[in-house]
Amino acid sequence: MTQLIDTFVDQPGGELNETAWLEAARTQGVDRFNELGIPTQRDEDWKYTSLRALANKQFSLQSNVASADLIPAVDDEAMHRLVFVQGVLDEAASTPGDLPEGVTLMSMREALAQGDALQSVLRSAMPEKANAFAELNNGLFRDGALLKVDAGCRLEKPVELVFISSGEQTLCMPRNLIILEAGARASIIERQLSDNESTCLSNSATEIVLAENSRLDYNLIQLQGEKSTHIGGIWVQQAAGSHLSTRTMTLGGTLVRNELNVSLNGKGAHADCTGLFYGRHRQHMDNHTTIRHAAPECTSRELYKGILDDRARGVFHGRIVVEQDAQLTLADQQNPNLLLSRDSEIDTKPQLEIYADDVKCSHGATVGELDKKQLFYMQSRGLDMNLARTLLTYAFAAQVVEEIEIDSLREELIKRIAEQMHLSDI
Amino acid sequence: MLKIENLHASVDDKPILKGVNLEIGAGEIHAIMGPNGSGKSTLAAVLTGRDDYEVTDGSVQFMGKDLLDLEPDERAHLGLFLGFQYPVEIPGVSNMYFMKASVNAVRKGQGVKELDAMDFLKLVKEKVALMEMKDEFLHRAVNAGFSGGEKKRNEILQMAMLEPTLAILDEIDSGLDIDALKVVARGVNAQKRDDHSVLMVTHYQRLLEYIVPDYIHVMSDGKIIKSGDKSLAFELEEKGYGWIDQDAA
Ligand SMILES: Nc1ncnc2c1ncn2[C@@H]1O[C@H](COP(=O)(O)OP(=O)(O)OP(=O)(O)O)[C@@H](O)[C@H]1O
Ligand SMILES: [Mg+2]
Repeated sequence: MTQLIDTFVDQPGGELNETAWLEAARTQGVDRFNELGIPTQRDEDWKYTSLRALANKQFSLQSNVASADLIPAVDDEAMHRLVFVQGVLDEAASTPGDLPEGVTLMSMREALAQGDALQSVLRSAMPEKANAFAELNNGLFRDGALLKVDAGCRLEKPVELVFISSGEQTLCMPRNLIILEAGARASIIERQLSDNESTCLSNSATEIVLAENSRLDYNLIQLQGEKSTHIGGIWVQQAAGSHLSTRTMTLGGTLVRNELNVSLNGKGAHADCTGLFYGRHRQHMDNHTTIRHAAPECTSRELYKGILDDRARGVFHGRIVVEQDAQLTLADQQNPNLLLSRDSEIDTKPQLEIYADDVKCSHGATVGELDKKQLFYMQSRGLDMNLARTLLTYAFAAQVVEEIEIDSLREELIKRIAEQMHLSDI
Repeated sequence: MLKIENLHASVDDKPILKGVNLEIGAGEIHAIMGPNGSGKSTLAAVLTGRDDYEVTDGSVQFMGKDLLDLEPDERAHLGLFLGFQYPVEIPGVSNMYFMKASVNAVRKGQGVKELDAMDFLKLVKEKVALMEMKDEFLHRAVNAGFSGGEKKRNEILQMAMLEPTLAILDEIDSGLDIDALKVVARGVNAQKRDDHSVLMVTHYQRLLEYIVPDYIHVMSDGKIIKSGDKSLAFELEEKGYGWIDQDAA
């Protein structure tokens, strides 16, 4: 019988020569992917996002060379940067720089070749049964980034992971693992890039394990070209007192699905997850988040803002689970949206499952137009209606972008958004 | 410069302005006083073109044009400015950017060359100093988190930047401490020229000590029921509004 994996993915032949445990894990991933199949809209988790465009296609895992001009020209000294082309490390383009003592940053392939150290960690942040795309990644990933920061160590400069996809119906599947030991600190930028012609599918999986009192700032910047599809999953396990902030900025791609799964497993852990999705033309942007409060006194905040213009469509699905033991939980989830055209659309779905009694959970989703009082104020100062509207839309976006902690990244995105809106020198 | 004749306006079919007549000449300072809810802010809103208000009768000429025909931004280009009773907060837009956009939009509307970054910076520094404000306010979002008094100062700062032909200032003195009041008054007086006029709405005689009006008008129930010179303010301070209502009746 032909399996889905064979029709969906054109795999290169040849042996990978991997250890037995990894081979077994891959086989399991592929088997599960075959079982689960490509999700349809009958699946509650995919109700508002159709993958019909992918269903009958075949994607190639053959690696392609990406156009070098996609590599962002940033100050090499400012970041520890790894560049991945089609999900595989491009050593020549990477500039990891000098790493402080106690910090390991290397390619996943290299890490796996070094022995069995990853056997117990790889797949440990994902649930036992993951979704089809995560299982596909489990089965076929080739490379990705491994970052480990030892107890008490601090990375001063951000780590930048640049993922470049290109080509026609290519598939790239980076697999990343980030481990912060107790009290460690790091900040990461994940950049998803492709050129405007590329009809690639990138399916990334990132596992994050945060030990006691560690602190991670994770910035996901989606800047793919207008024909590229991205399905990305992030799984985070947080121990007591750890602090996670995620900034998910979706500015590119034709179909983008960002899954974020955070488990607050230790007392007093905190997750602060914000995002912006700015869709135009026929872009489809889906943010699917699950925050699980599994221990007492944890706090979480979610703020995802959507701006949709033309015929763009946005989805926000925010699930918050508060388990029985998670007393004194504090959870807030907000999803304000701006629809700028009549043909744009947003589907927003909060989903609260609360099994503890002493908790404070609030959520709100709004679909709005621009504020009339603000528009009038601006007009009365001489700005025409068009400029007033654009400036307010920009302001709506800027308020989330301003929460980005890395100065250069924040400034870059502010500039980029202003440019997309044709606003000069903000 | 401004001529309001028999102006009637309503909101949601409820008449609020019921026949306002007022003429302001070049270089004059006028003050409007009157009880709460009498329509002072509504008059300011109608003059600057807020679209919740429907003009049902009357006309307004400004600088030789039919003001009511124009969009709010076109009115600003003609030199009309409103200092809001409740300035609006615009989180996410820096004060500096907003003022630059504003100054250049007005200049463009007037067919004057737009200011470049350097010239704008020079101008704004000068005006910020005049208003005794910290530079920090330029980099904060427009009015966001400003105290009541800071918002009023920021309104006058914007006025000083735009140098309007007619500035309508709605309760610019409310919420100001005595030092701030002096600074705001200095800002207003600095912009007074032979061809620039001011229409201010206030409840307090105190403001009029610092910005001395040529005329004072009393508004009640959507009409101007009494006009006089600055001595009228003292009378109002002493006796309230009751006696005029009786006089007018
Ligand atoms: N948008 C609106 N909807 C309903 N009523 C309104 C609206 N705007 C104004 N009004 C009413 O019109 C009347 C005049 O209001 P306005 O704000 O002009 O008064 P004012 O003279 O400025 O008062 P104050 O001295 O308190 O500032 C009030 O009764 C007010 O409630
Ligand atoms: Mg008023």
